[in-house]
Amino acid sequence: MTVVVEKPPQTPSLDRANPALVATGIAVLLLAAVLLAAWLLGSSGLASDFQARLQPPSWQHLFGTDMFGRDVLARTIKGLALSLRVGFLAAGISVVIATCLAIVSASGSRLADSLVSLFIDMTMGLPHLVLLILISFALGGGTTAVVIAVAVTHWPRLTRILRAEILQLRNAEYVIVSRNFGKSRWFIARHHILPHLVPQMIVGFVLLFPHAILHEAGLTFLGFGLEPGEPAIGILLSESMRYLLAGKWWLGLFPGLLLVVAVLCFDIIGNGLRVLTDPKAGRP
Amino acid sequence: MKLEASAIGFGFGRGVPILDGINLAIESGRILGLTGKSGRGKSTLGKILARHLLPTKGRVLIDGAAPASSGFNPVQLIHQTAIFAVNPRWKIGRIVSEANPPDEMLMLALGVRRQWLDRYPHELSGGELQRVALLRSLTPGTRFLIADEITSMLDPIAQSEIWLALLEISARRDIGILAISHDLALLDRVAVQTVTL
Repeated sequence: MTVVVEKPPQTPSLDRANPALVATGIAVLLLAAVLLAAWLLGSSGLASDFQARLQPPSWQHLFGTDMFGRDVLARTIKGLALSLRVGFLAAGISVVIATCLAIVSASGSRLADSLVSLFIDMTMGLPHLVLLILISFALGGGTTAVVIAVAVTHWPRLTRILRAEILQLRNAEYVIVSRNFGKSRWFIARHHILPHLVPQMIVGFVLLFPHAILHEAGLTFLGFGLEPGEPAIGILLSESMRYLLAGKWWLGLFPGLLLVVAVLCFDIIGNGLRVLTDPKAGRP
Repeated sequence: MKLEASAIGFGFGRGVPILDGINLAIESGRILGLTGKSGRGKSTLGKILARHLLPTKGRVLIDGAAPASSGFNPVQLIHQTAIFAVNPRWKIGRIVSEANPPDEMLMLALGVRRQWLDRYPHELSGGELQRVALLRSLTPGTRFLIADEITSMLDPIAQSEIWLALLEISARRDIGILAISHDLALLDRVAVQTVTL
């Protein structure tokens, strides 16, 4: 008896499209649009026009206008550009802190390892938002304070991952062989260990990025973040609260929606990259 | 030169020691066989001799003196599975040059082909990778080689080619080899003496 197995036809389908690729496409478009629009707009579009206060979305103002007659689309784009900048900086600093502490923890003495582990547990044990508010408040608010607050509270998880990776690599056969060839610790760290950490660092950065943007918006929304005059998403959402009951839905809906899309895209990209660097993580 | 294991003891935690009071001597230019049932500590002894592990008791001596704890080790270890002993992100050319640029004659003797140098470890077979690992280990400074089941996963032809090359290199360069294996027929052919653990 002959068994014929027919291969299903390979028709292009959206179901088969990798969500991470779709998210990357949207994120790149969003980034390009936001950065280009923010650059093209300059300070125009942020000017008040009291003749056109609280106007609903129209062809002239796609996202409507706010209580000072400012274009909500222009403010949202400016806000998102600022959020992306803050997120980029905060996530970048977090990755640098995590890498340094992981190296100290895994390559230093037992005391250094214990101290870093204790520091990780302490930071993870404290309520996240409280720590963020405290640091941002202590530093007097503003963009720098938000970047520092988010950066110094988001390193522990990545530090743990990198520390475990370094400990594993330190005992890898090829590292022991290299040590037996008389290679220095610096050579081994640079040529054998660091290249293996780069994928983890990239994934860590991409996953931290949306988190940092959300925290920036959250802190600003609560009044501990950026200055009220700055067109930040958090401020736009905070301002919209007072007008939501009056039916001015466009003030909160559009900035919130764009923020969710940006965060979701980077989160999907981060998870896609994580699966790519650790194939086991992708299996059910 | 003489590589000695002097009253070596080793154990994990507080359990029964794997090795206790082991004495062994390998001389330059000679091949010593080491055999024994699984779990007797043959590979552990090999790792201790090559400074991959530190003994809990006893000492490893080279010409009666303790070797330096860091820097180049004249005792090199070759594993059964070479894939774990090479950096998967390095190309073969970089791997074989890690300690010293490879010797052309040695490359020829071990059957390492030039076209392999531009490949990654996963692009070579187990036998090809084992030849690469041997080439890397046989630097001008290597005086002893711990060959831990180096050909047990290879076909008989590759096994014969590798051991013939090693016999020639050992004699020519005065390198002492500890051949760890379960294959008594192989040890009979290559080793001047076989010790059972």
